[in-house]
Amino acid sequence: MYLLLDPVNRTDSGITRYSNSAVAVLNKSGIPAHVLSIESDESLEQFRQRVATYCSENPVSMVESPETYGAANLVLSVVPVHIRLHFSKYIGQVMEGKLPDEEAFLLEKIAIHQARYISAPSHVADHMTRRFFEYESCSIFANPLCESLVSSEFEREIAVGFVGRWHSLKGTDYFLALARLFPELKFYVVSGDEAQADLGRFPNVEFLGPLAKSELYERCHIVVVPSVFETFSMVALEALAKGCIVVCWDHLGIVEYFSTPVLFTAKKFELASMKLAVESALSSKSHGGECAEIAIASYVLGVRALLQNSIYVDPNATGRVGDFDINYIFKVSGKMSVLKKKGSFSRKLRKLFVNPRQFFLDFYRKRTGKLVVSQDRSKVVLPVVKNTPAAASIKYDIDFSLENYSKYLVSEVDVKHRAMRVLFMSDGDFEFSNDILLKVDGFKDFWPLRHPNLKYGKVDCSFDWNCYEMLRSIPPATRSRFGAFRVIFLWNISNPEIAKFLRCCDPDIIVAGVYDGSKPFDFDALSPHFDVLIGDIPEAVSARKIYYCKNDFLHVVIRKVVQEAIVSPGGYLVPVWNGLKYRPGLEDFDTGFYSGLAVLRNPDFEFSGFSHDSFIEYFVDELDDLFVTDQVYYRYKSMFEDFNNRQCRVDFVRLFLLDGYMFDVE
Amino acid sequence: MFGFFYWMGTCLMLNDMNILHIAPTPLVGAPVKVVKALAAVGVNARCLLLSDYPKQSGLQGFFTDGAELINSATAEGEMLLRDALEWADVVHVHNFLSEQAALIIKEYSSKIFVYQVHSPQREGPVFTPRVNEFGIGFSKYLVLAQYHPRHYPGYEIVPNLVLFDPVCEERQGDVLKVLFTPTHARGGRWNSKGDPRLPGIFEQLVRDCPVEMVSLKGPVTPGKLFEIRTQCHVSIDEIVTGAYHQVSLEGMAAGNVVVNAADYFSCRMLQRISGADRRPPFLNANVDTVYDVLSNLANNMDLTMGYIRETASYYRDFMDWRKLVLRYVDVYKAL
Repeated sequence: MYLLLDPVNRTDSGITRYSNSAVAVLNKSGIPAHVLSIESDESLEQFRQRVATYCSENPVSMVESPETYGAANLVLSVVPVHIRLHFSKYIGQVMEGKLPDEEAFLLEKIAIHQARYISAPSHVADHMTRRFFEYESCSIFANPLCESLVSSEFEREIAVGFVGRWHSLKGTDYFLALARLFPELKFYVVSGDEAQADLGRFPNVEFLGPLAKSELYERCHIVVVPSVFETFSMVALEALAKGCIVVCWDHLGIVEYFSTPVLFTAKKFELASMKLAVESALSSKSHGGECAEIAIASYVLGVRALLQNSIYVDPNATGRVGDFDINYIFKVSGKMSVLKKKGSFSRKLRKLFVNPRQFFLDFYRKRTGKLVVSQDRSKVVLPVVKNTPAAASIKYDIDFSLENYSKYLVSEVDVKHRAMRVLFMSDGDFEFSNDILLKVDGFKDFWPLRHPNLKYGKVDCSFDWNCYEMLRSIPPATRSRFGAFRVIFLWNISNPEIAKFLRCCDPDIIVAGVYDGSKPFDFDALSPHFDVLIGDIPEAVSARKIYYCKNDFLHVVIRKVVQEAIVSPGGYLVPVWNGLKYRPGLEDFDTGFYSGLAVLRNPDFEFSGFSHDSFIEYFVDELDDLFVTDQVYYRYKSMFEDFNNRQCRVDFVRLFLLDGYMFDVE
Repeated sequence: MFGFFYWMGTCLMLNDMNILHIAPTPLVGAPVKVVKALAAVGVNARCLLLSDYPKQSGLQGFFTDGAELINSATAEGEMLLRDALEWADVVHVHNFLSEQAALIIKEYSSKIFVYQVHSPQREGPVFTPRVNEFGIGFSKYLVLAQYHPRHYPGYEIVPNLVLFDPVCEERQGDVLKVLFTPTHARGGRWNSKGDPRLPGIFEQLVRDCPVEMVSLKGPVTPGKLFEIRTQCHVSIDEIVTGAYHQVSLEGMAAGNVVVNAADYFSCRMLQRISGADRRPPFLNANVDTVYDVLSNLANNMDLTMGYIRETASYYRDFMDWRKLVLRYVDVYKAL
């Protein structure tokens, strides 16, 4: 099944229109397709989870998702993801001159990294996206339109229509200027209610409301699409399919497929040229009913090619937009934002009431100069992100080489926010973990796994050095920098001395070992030195905490481990052995000094032997009740799961004491 | 009577055995005290120290009496070390060996080797046991019966000896004399022995109660410190980590009320090694409770005297060094 994702699900959204059309077109073409749309009461994270679950429970052959919102970021790597470049939210923000949302950028970056296939509805969309993201090949084929929308009826009023959000990116200023240039011509607008405020000054412009799109297409001879940029323009295609003549700038995506006499273009951002184009269109009697069929054919061919693992570039799509044009688009959009800003008081006031947090956040950012957005986008050096493979894009913050300690670099990370910081270290290039790390990167709602709290490091394990040699060679000040991390994940590290060393650097570091089962490890030797073991771990291994999971779910477990590591102790006792009966005074237990309460049948029991091990054996046999603090419970979770096993109790007491915790004994 | 014969018999058995203790530093006198105690019960024992504390520590020369201080890196030191190894039947290594010393000692593989650890793990400054790296086949692994056994659960416990004769006299006076000698404020779970709140608590205590805090001006010798301790009612060990240290043992020997935060496991280790029928009479306190504990003692001297009597009785009955050293004798005997 071909699955389409719609993380927007709004009637005025091009993505929603596209998804609904595409699913209808594909089903009719013999490609079973389904669309998953975000629900109104659903968060993006919930939607991503739902998508991942759907993909794991249904036979999905490919998932298609827009690059924005990272809707497919949690989909397992076995399902190929196809990213359709509709229009990046981040690029839109850059065009608008807004403070670009780094979160959005990272989400899109992850989505593009993760994708097996990338396609765009036009060359210009591909060209524009490559300014910000780097990827290999890109298919080019048109957006489809559901045939039910197609109409051959074209007896219309001589009028000009506008459909779309009332937003400067949609070229509303150009539309109003056009209305001013043609005072005798009737103009209709289908948009949100916010448009009415601007339209009151134009007697020749009539507002039809947000839902009267079909009515507009039936009334208007011309539909103008003055958007600053469109990767394709579903509005233009709909208008063409409905038999309208379309007028738009010459750099829009749809221009690559259609031309006169159904589509008239104007030189980009030149109003005089637009006026001429409208005049020409007024005299045209053609209609573009067949445009929908062309687009549908292009789309079906494109999807079929992707399903057969090949790239398809529609020969009808003629890319005519170059670097100069892209720069020019940015330049003009930047100027537009300047014009807009001149009367920004009311906008800011509105923002203050509607979204006060964002208002103060933006104000703070601008004041502190944390992020400066140049007005002239064409001169901005845009970030380039490598995509192949994902590991290559990981910037190693730490290079921990045992061969040469001068290579040991830990970037200056303050210890202040250590509880919220996580480090991933691997011997090599995170080969197996690309997918997993990208998915971890997708947890944007979880602060410790967000940039810049997430750091990557490399450990050179080619030398069989031990903990003592590492400690001796690295000065304490440098060692203590590891203390800036709360959780350190070691990936497929076979040398337990590395974990031992890290635990020596700071006793509060949680050292987690991640193992994918690609090669055998001596877990009995490893487990005492790790706080957590994750992955393909043999069941016989005893450790403080073990999460058995396959690679597909490692990212979820990683999140869980971090979550448990930063949990604030509630300071309450959890019964782990017997403990079903209430004991007076449990509420007043001093969790600051002791981490557990052991109730013994006879605290002064006699024992033989002179080792602590032999004492623990007797101690465990004397246990009547055992309570531990919630913090301890989380830390030794796996051991409590098998606590009826005497050996497990013995191992727990031994490790508990070794880790520096203390029991209050009654 | 049985004890006497046991003691005599044990010592006679070891009479022809030579025990050599080797330590990298004086380790606050622990190896030397064992050697002195062994010698006192008739066992041939020597102690080699491979270095002393640095001068700036203020402890240089404090713990070398009774030991031979050598530098194995020099030809003369190596010769002395080889002579001692030739002499020894049992080589008792403490804590750590330099690579050079380990290489020399390894040559004497016919000897019986015993290893004893004195330091915790994952502490600051970090100690990592290298016992398996010396290339020496140890027959026994020992650890002090304090908080350390939880770090080395398979090792056998041995006592930390205090060679002072117990002072069991009752103290006179209406003012509670409290000795608190904070050592160092290192980081780490078990090495941290101070708390920044304590000076303020003690100042408040002196203002509120009949308490005199006895302080030391600079490092003093162990003998002098013990003498001062005998003049006090209370010895406060560290009350931060849950361990007890030599301060507690000396406080007991000096007939003080010993205040510490020793946890159940530390106390049971001491009880086991001393063969006592009850846990040591430490007065448990931590930073939150030490004010109440001391003010209670200061305002009730009868109670204080009761604790002193109980401590003195416990020490006399179970912790006399002449008895405790037999644990070492037992270890050697079992080799």
